[in-house]
Amino acid sequence: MLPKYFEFYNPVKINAGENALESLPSELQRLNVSKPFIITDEGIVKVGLLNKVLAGFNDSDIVIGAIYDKIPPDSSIEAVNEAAEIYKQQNCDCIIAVGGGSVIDSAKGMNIVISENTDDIIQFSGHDRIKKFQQPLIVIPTTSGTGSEVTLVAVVADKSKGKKMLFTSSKLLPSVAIIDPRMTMSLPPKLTAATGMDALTHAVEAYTCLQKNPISDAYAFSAIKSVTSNLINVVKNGNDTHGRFELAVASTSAGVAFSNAMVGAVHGIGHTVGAISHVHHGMAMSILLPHVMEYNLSKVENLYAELLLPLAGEDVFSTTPKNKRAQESINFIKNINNELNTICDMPITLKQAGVKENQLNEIAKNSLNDGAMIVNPVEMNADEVLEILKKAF
Amino acid sequence: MIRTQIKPKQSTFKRFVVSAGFYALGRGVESASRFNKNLKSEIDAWDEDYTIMLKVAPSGAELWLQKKGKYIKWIKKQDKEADLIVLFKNLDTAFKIITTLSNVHTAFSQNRIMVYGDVAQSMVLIRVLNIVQAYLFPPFLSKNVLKRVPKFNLSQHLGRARLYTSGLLFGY
Repeated sequence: MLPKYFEFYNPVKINAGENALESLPSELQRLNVSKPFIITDEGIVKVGLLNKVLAGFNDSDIVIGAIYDKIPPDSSIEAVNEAAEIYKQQNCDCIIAVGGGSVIDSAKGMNIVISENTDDIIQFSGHDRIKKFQQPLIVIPTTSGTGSEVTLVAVVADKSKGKKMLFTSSKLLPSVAIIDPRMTMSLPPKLTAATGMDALTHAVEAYTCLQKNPISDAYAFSAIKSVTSNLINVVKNGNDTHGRFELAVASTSAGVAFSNAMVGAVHGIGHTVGAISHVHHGMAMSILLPHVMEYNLSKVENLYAELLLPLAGEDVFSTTPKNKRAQESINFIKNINNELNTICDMPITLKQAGVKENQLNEIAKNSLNDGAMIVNPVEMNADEVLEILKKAF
Repeated sequence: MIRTQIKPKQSTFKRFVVSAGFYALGRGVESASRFNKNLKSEIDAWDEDYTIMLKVAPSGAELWLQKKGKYIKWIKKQDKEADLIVLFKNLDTAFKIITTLSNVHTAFSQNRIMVYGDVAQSMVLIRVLNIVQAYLFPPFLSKNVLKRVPKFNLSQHLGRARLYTSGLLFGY
């Protein structure tokens, strides 16, 4: 059913596929900029991914203004400020982010510091506090999960206060996303599995939350099909270039979907699991997804039933009775989790992921303050979140 | 025909309803913060003088609330910016929510409400408003407003009676 009203916004130009990196010079020209600042992390440099990006500039007259590779996991205010300072010193005019969620979020963070001409990024945290238009940002993701290349969100850690600051603004949407399958080839199996399940969760929640709309549905549907058709194969065989490309595009599609439809309680609880127990985001997503689906089942059974088609394919969908499709969708996701557990030791319980039982109460209480909870189709209180956590434990 | 300097129509009725609704909501929050334990524990973490503004864009009614001691007080319009701002994008959105034709979570998911400020605190505010709306509206209207309508026990019914009387009149 169509919502009475919805808004959809995705101005990000997406260049995807073989030799996508080689489109960098022409994109800079199109954006009327010529001195890029590259932000990345040491791991990306070590595995040779930065060299692949630099090779994308071969035979052009672009001079790279600076390369900054000191982004820590979860980002940090200090790194964001330092990167912004170097950007200004070198008179750069655009940012290229090469990495996963932390690097992309840091690029968005340094963009706030530069564009707002501030040394205090904290005052811009929260929703829509950014007033100035940002510097052109080109994002080259090296994982297939976060979708940050097409989202309006950035998370930067304030390590002095032990807090993660959230920034949301449509001004944070990048100018260009470059999806090149070569950039995710070196991702190890467990990380491939976790980030793939993150993308799947984005898509499932976008398709079933209160903010869903027909356009985000199309992106979510396509993303689910690509993830479930390719994830297991790619985890088993990391050299599957086509599968890697499918997962990368699925991650971007899911990113577009949830950037416009939001997510739900899997993310609401999962963010808190990450903050308190330091569990990898994708792993928290894969563990919590089937449990939250079971909780939401009564309200969105028809939507979960529809998802059996992209999840399991037309044969399973057509042979499953209509009233059993929703539960079958949940079972299908549980089976993926079990298979990933067997193949690459992906945790399937919170305990396996390192969560302590005495942390569950705090996680349950804090989860209610996550913005994603408002669009979850079913209301949740702290006791109900705790029940879900206990089942997932 | 050429027309110039066309001024938009103004709906006096909707403005009146929204202003009256903000009055009831303001008094309702004040009152419930004095007797509802859940609401009290929700606002526990707010700093003293934490200020919230609900406003109808672009220049409609405003409702200002402030944490004072253990309670929330309805205060007059302030010169400084509020810590948390909930902006109804237009009068129609505010009118529909006040009259239970829509609700906060639907309006939020349809991008008809903007929130400026800390996301976690906005979630606390939504839970506070849910508690107050459950008292303000009878169950047959609450089901349009809340994702889940709470079943009231005797003490909550007494709370509703208090809110309808001294609450709406004086905020106690």
